[in-house]
Amino acid sequence: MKRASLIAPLILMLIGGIFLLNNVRPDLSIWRLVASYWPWLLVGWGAIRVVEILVSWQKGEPLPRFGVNAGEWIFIIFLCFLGAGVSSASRIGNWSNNWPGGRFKMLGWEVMGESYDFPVKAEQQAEGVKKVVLENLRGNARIVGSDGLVVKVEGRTMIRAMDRPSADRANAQVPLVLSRQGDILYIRTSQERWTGQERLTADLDIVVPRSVNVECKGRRGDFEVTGVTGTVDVDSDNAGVRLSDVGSARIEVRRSDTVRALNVKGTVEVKGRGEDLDLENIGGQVTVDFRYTGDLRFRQLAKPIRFRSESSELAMERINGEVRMSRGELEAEDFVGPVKIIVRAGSRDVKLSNFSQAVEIQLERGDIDLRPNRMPLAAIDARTRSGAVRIAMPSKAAFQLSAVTKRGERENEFGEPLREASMDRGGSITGTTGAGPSISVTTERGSVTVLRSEGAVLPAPPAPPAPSAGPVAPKSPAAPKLQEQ
Amino acid sequence: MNHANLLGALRGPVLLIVLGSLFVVDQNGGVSFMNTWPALIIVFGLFKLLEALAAKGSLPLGGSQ
Repeated sequence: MKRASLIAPLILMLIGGIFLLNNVRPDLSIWRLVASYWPWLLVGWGAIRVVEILVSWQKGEPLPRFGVNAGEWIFIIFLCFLGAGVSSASRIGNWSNNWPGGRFKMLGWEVMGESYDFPVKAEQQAEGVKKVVLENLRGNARIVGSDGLVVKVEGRTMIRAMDRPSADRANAQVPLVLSRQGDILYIRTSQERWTGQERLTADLDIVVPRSVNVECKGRRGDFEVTGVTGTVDVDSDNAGVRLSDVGSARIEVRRSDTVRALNVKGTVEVKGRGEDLDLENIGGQVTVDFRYTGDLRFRQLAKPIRFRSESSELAMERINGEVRMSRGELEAEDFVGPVKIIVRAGSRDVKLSNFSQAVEIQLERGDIDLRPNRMPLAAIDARTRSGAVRIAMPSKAAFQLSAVTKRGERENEFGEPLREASMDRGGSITGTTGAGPSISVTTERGSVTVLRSEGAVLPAPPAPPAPSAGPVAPKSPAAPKLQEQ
Repeated sequence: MNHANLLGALRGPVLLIVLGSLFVVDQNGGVSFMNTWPALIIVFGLFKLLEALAAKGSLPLGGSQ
């Protein structure tokens, strides 16, 4: 009995998977991964075939005359040309020639080379310096503001090379340079001067006068800035960014595992793409244009926030509590409108609680759950094309409600004076409890539920520490359990 | 002896693994494939040699079959 090889089906599944992933997660730049990892396909293919042959040899089955037949070799050669072409194209496209391999993980080099460390240290008077510019292509940097009037740099250059002499040669080419032009002080690791194959990385600890502005530029490596009253400007191809206690911030990253800013007095501006973004206690306006794959978290933003990504938009005027957003969910608690949430593509469940001022929501797909809990109510206009809609109205509030589903069930747990009506395949719950704002929630497909919230109706802001409503809101801290003595 | 057959069948897959590995090294900033391709010829020759020895029965491979 001759068994069919596993190779062909596996390759088909892999190709299908790549295209599917590319459609589902366009942010992953799947082709870049393919461009850098395709040779492993050949290795895997060979390995599977070796195993298959050894297994059939063990069982005494007839062996194929050739482990890899002529047609397969032609396909392999075609693949090699294609792969080599794609990877050199993406290398030239993204990288200047100085950095062979650049963004790709230099796996081979890491396996083959050895790391050599060279300490670096430099210091310069910084009286009258208004801005410190750090240029470090690769490596992490930590910048701390201090009361002194001096810029101090300490750290190490790591060079991955085949042997000590080539590491020494590379190190001699890349001195750490502090130079001053007018009121700007430059810190340069000069890595771009080295054109050899050794990989250089510099990790630096930098102390700067507290009052300066800081600018960080790099290709790959994390930046951490603390205790600087000026503006912090970060521009990197791939960086984790952590800022705390800074004047204001401008961050642009092409790729990032995390961007975090804590205690910023002024404005924060974030641009680019990455995984997680976390902003907390920001005094100024927040502007975010960020394609994210992980989670976003905004807490205690005193001024308006404007967020946009490839498919969604969010605007709020103030966040006392927290807004959390992942690719599938948006959950916001204790914030001030007018709020606008628009999701143009994909599915997102939106859950808002303890808010005041007008709210506007437009979803393509996803559930909506609204619990205003604050008096006086303001206008709400929420619509989803597909998803369940729930709204909990405070029992004593005055409002004019219109909750409509074009196709789906309805449930009125609020009771009088709201009326239910059927229409076609859907239904509506409408009614007026007094002269109040117009509340309109609509789903084209999905159930619609109106609840009555008896919980504490919180006064309108400003009353920052707002515990969420008791019994109705399921996401508020779990009801205190009875403790036995 | 079916060691010769086994080696013949394994030749292609092993060459494929070597080929892939050379590209991996090339890809990751190591030595360029332009410089390493002769390794394929060496591996090919090695297999041919082992097959010839196995066919004569002078190759002391493990296993009594």
